[in-house]
Amino acid sequence: MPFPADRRAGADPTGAPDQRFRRETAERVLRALAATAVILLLVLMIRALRGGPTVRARGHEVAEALARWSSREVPGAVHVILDSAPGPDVRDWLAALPAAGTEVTWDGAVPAATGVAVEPVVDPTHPIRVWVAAPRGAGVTLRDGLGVIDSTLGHQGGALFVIPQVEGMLHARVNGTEATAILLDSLPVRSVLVLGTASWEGKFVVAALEERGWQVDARFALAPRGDVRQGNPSAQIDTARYAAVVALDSVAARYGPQIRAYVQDGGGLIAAGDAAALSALAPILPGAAGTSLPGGDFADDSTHPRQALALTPVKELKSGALSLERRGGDITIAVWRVGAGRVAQVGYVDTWRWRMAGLDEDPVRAHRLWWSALVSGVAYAPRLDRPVADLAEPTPLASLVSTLGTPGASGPALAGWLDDPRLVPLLFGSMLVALLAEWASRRLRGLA
Amino acid sequence: MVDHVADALALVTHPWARHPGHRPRVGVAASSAPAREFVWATAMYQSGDWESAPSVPANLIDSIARYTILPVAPRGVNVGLGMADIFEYPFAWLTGHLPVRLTQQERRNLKRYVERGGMIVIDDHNHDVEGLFHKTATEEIKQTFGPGALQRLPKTHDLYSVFFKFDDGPPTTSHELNGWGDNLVHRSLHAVLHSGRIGLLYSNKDYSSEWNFHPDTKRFMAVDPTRFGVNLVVYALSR
Repeated sequence: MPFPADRRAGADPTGAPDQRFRRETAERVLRALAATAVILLLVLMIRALRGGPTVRARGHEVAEALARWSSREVPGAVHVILDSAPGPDVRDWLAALPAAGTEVTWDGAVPAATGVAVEPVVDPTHPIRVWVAAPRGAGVTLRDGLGVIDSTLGHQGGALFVIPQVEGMLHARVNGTEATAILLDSLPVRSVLVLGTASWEGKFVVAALEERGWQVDARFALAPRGDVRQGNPSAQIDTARYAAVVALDSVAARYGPQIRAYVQDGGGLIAAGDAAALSALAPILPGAAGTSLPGGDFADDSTHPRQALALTPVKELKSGALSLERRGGDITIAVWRVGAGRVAQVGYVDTWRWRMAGLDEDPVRAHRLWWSALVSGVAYAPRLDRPVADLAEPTPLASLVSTLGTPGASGPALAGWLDDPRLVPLLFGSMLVALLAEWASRRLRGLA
Repeated sequence: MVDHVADALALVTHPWARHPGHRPRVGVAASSAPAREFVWATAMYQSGDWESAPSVPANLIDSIARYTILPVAPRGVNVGLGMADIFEYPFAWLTGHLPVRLTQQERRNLKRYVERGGMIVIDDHNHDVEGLFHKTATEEIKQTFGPGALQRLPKTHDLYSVFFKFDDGPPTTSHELNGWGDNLVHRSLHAVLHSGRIGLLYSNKDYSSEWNFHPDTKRFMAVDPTRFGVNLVVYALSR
């Protein structure tokens, strides 16, 4: 039994120098371990005092964690790893966290840069046009409250849908990211006024528009003493009555000043045939009328039936005018804006031949839709707000960046394990065990 | 500028000339009128005597030019009902005395013609409900458009007021009043309607005889009998 005085003097109770060295080394390691645990506990304490831990969460966990982070577990920082754009409620909740002292950062697979826009078309059947921005080749699925409406692949930056109606919120899903939109306004569709001499063109233009559902008033010059009237044509041409005026020949010259004022106020004008060459309308037309070209035969397999129509091409396009359709090097349809209105100059002559003699699959329907689309393209319609209760998210990526900022670094590197809730008891236990072992080792060696 | 465009359009090759392979079996008066002129078209059919009232086009063209400002081709054309060219003329006149038996192609074209918005007027040159033209023509209409498609046209129809006013419906013809044919005055015309418009107008009143006079005769008439023909054309062009 070694004498205590020897222990105080540092004598080796075992008498073996190597063994003593090993025990002293082990005691130093234990002290270092305890000191490290204390330091880490101090760091954790400071972090807790500064506002809580950093929390990481994956996209699907975020929605359920938000309530926790906002009540019993207020983290100092939240880093969210997203695999798709969160909905507006989740996104806005995350955006609100900094106001409560929680820093928010995000990264992950950047969601597809998609967006959806929806607007009514001026048409008697009230269709809705939907544009979806999507990468080329990406699958685009459109659905509303009643289910899937249509799907296609992104092409040239997106996809365009024309749908008969939408029930509630419209959802466009692109590569897992969902953009939502809601129809915000409606368009009351007004009448169309057709002006011209009684002719096959006038008859078939009116027929095509009426078959599509347009309310048509017509004034056809017929005799020196009067016109043939159809519908209830008003003496006044204004946007309160008419969505568009279709001028088919020189008869429109009688109404030149009225038509010019009507277009300036927002009305739509289609000038076709001889009307495109009238000096009374020249200031509001997108171009001049060129030299007429004869029509030809309709081809059996023609996918371009208007190739057979006679043409007075649009020449000398004015600055700001746009050519909508060409045949070879000739402009067949040109459009532009005048004041608040829109004007289309149509070079095709006697389009009725397409309907009567066309050899395409359904020339009556094609002629009808083509004329209706022309009118829709220029028609005036006041937009009326629709009551909307739902919150739409038409551009999820843009909104995400706008509210949470650009995707950032993944937070402090230590955050991952420093914020592990098991760390504090583990450190505390390690510290106690290390100190106890070190103390026991020293006592067994006879040291205080 | 308008004249310039009209002149240029006059260069349009007339459809009749552009379809040499589709010429009907009988000689025709091929027109070179621009498409925007109204062209009186007489429908030819394989059976019967489609050419039974040769002066009708000239008289009606004269009346249209006299009473309206419509550009009208000075000569009518004869166009085969079974030919593709019929579709270049949205108004056609068909008449005859003899039985009418349409070929499959003629029947197909007739149906398509009406469905696409054309208007064909069929007039019984016999003025006889027991006559062969009436029986066969109405059978053909029934076969082409279905039973019940041919409806009585009310006196209030637009056709009777679109240009000249005919308060009593279709004007009577001298043949009706003289007791020829079936010895009846037919009070109304019949029509096949398509989308609310007259696509096929059927008449028992023998306007073919009434309007088939020498044009010089018109100046001796108290009331021009072709005025109703003007209504037919104006209706076709404006409704």
